[in-house]
Amino acid sequence: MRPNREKIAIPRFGEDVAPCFGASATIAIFITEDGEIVDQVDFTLHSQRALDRIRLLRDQEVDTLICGGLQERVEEMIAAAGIRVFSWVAGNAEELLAAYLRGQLHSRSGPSHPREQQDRGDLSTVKDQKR
Amino acid sequence: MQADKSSRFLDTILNSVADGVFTVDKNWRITSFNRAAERITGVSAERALGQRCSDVFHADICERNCALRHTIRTGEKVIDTPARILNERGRAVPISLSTAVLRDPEGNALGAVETFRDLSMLEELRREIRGSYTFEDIVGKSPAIRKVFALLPDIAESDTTVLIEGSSGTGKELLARAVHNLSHRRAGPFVAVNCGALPATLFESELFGYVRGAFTDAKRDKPGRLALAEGGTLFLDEVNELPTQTQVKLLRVLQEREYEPLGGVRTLRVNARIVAATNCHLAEWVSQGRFRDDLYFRLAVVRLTLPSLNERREDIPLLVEHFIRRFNAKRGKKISGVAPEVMELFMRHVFRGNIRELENLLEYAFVLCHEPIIGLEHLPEDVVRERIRNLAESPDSGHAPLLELAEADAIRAALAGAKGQVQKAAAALHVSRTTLWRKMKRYAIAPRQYRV
Repeated sequence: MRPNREKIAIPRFGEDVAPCFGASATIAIFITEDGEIVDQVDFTLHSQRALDRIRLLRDQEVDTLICGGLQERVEEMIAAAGIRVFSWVAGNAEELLAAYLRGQLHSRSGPSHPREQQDRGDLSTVKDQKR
Repeated sequence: MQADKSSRFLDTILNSVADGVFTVDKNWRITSFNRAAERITGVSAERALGQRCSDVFHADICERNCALRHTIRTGEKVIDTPARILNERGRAVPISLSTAVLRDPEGNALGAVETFRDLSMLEELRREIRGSYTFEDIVGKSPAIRKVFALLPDIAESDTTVLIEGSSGTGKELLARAVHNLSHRRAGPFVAVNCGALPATLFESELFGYVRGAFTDAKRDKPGRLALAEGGTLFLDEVNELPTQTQVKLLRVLQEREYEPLGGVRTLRVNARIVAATNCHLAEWVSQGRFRDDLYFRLAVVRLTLPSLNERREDIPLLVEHFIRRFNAKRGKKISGVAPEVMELFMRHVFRGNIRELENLLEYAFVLCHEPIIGLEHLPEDVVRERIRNLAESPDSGHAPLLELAEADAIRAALAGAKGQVQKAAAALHVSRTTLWRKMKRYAIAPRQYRV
């Protein structure tokens, strides 16, 4: 039986998720099989154009994007490309990835959207535990 | 006690300034956040305090050129640096920012202060003047618009010809400009030509240009629009109106990338992307023999269809918000939205002129409205009357709208008789003046229209 494979992209700023998808210098793409990370590739981005970033995600056949601040229209374009988006999250990138793999990640759970965080989430715990 | 007083004094000052002001400690945690900062970011001070500034501002400079980091590290001020932050709704807000170090009485650095100014209005005006529209100006979440979004990354990257189909007022030129501004040709010119605006002979000289002596009065060479679009994009609006003989020449441009100006013998090369638009179903024109099929297939390498506004009503609230933002910038007003009955009218109105009609209605309302909310009384009377008529005709309306219609007519007649004097009209109708004002507001009747 073939393993369940998924590509998850996270724009990074050091160990954390980058605060702004459109300006992040690095996008890490994690490859998981049956929920386990089996590989990771880092892409360095020079262009700050949103469309170049969307093309990268699409060309790399990314299934899911986990990111910080994301322009509304860009989010719509990424979603239109068939990529699942978890935006406006903050904190340590690997812990966010682990939360996603556990099924505990929610969009808009970063500090800019605390109301939704209280309603839905467990992600503040990921961030707060770290700090 | 004294310290408390001066702190409150300082808070009052900070909260009354129009620029955003916030301070951070040495770990980039926000320690104060004024009211203007709340307004510009959409994040309350309560939520912002204690957070890292990058998690609140999501600025394009956070990673590579953080002004606060530079200031804390070097002690140097940063003055009027441009940046873009993302507000809570995911919109990019252009700002200009300045930073300085905060020190204790002994001169030790405690953190830094940043002031920032919202430049959205300025940028909106600049965009309006330059026509530098991007995908941010394509407003909507309907499936048809999503389809356009899905294709945009590929369309922008390639150099292929694009055909945009859509009724008049659906935003074809705006989409063409967005395609241009997203492409690698964005530094080049965007030249728009309306194919239906000129007679065939004039049109050709306009498109291809002419050389000296090509015809009487051709005293010098004149470059055509194709040459003017060198390195950029040529937008052919209403391409279906292209005369048959010009269709052949355009086909050659698309196939061979070359043409000759009128009266010229030298062949010129074309280095422009062609984006065409039509307000009809061009494939039908082809089947009727009114448009060359070979040209159609060359033009429609990528075909984008913009639906009519009546087919994407779910986008009306977003469009209303978009135009209010634009007109606020253009007219220097601070209108925050439309009244629920206005939105209801828009949702039911048949927009024959599509988005342009909605834009015109709001532009009209912006002239009359001096309040924070646009009401029915700020819309053209015929549009409001149509609403009442529609309500009267709807099967589930009962008799009430018919009564409303009659009541509105009675008020108009009374106002006409009283030459626009509300007191007199109220007396004639045997109602109080306040009741009449309330009803006039409801039916969007303005007494000044009846003053002689």
